[in-house]
Amino acid sequence: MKKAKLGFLSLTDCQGCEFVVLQLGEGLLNLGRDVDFASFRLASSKKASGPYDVFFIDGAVTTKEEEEVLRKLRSETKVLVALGSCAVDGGVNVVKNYLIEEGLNPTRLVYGSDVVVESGVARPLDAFVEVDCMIPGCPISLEEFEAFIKLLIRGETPKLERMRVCEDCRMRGVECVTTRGAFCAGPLTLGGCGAPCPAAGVPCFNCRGPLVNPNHGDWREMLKQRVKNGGLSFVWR
Amino acid sequence: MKYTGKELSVDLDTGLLARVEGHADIYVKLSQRGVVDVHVKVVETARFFEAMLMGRLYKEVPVLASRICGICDYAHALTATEAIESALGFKPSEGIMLLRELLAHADNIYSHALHLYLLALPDYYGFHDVVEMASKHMDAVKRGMRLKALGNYMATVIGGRATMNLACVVGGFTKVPRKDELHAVIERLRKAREDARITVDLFQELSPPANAVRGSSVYAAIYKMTEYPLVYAEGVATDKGDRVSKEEFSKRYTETSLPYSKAKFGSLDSDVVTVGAMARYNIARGNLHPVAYKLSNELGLGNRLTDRFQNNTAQAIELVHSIERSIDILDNVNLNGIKRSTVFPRAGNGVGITEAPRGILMHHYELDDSGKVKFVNIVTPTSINVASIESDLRTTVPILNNTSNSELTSYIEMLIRAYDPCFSCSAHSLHVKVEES
Repeated sequence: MKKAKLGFLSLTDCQGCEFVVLQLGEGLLNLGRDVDFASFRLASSKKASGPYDVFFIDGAVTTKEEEEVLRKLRSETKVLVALGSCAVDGGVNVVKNYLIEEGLNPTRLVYGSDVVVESGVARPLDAFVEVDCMIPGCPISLEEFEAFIKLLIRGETPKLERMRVCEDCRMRGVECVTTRGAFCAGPLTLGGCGAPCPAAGVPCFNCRGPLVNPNHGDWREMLKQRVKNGGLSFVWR
Repeated sequence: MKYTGKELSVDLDTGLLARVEGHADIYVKLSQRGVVDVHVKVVETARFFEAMLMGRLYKEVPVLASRICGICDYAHALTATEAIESALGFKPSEGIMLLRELLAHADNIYSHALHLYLLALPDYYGFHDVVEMASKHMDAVKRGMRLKALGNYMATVIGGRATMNLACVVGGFTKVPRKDELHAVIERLRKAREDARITVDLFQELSPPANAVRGSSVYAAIYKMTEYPLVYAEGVATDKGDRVSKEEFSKRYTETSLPYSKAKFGSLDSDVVTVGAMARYNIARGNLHPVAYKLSNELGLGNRLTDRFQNNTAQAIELVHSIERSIDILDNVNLNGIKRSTVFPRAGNGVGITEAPRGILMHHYELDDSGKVKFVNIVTPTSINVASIESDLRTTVPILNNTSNSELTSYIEMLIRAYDPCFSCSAHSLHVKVEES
């Protein structure tokens, strides 16, 4: 069987999701038997040109140059995967957009007035091109990535499960953090992450983005109850 | 060297320097008299973290700040937490500080193993990457993967996740590891001793690619009288003998924005500074764990490493140090007293300085009455080292003037890799271009 040709590229981000991929460890070597890492700059100096079977892109688009690179890769790739929250919905970079909306100039705040640094509004990949598969999370879940890549290299396109983070908590046997008075976004957030945050005593902050049809009413009721029962604090308590 | 009009351009096969974190360009301009200009251009798209942190609530700062970098994420979380707690006048207990030190060792083990085996070693063995390298050097690759996984495992047990800290928060920890979990960590640390020892021998035996590079910069690291510290230091020391407090360092270390780069370039009292494992070794070798110290004696490394490529050796020695020190802490630490304290917002000013795996990392915050950030300054190790890399290239490239285009390029790449840079802290890919006038 011909090896699937894979690529990885980072745009504006911390590359943390690619470091999660490297946590495959020896799994990376096993994977290397079935796939050709044609372009993976963080881990390899090899660079084969397209076309590619699967290309993973992490990071948000913030410059014209990134937009052009993205469009080119789209044209050379069968299955384009948005890897991590920055690629899926802009991720943490979106905080910068709020500053721009408020009329502030982030460049001037960080670099001073005499430096020209191009950086526009941060946008996810699907603002520019069609994305075939999304793996959200800040960072991505290694287990979810492993499950997805197995399907991707067989030519299948995996879909995200439509479940709440609450389901992850239940499966893992994690005590609900709201019972300790925390404000948790889990009931509204797309699950499948394995709930690492609540398991560590930290409420969900919606890094994987919202469910398609979240039940806001129930969630508001729950928050009201918690407030009645002795207060609720933002982020952690 | 190949002329293309007036420009002599050294293009890598790819145009991009691989196996470094982040994106940057190297620009070298040569003339008959030598190097005219050297720029390390950090071309990574700007992240604007300092602007994004403005106005945020104190609790959110370490969470946001860890997203600056996907490999030094724990270092950013620890440094931001130290700075914020200092601004709020909160003094963590001994147990909390030790648990955080363990997180720093976890980060050090993970990051050094990743850099040494996945990023640097393929250069020495002549492969594109670790997957290719496994065909001939499976033992080495597996050893690297085991050491890297150990760091990830420690971080998961204590911090809740391998990448992006969860449990370490302002005021303490949201979750303290169980006894049996910590016991399992000790077991794995003990098993890793052999791997770390072999790593030191391996990198000691590898010969550097070309002439030794003896930079003219000043080495700097954080210090503590009787320790080889990664966190909670007394201040910053240089190999010139200076000792400055954290607050003083934040004032005396100055950064300039340059037109060609998105990383700001810094200096300490006008000196070019080098930070990282080698700087730590040169400043605090005497405080290394006795096992690591003894090993450095056996290898005859002395009190001072001078060749930049020896940063790899220093990282290997630190693998031994971090493993031994972690075992010592875990054998003695009492976790019963560790809890999460409620911290109340107030106005204040705080500087946190730690050692990320690749060198000094500083976070400085000023908070208002409600605990919101009103001033922020972050200095990352790579932004400190960029000036040092430029200075090295200025002195070494002319010596290598007669080497071929591709040799020069790979030499420049290896030198930069030895610094273990991380360009995400401000910007992305290294592209080497040499111009002759």
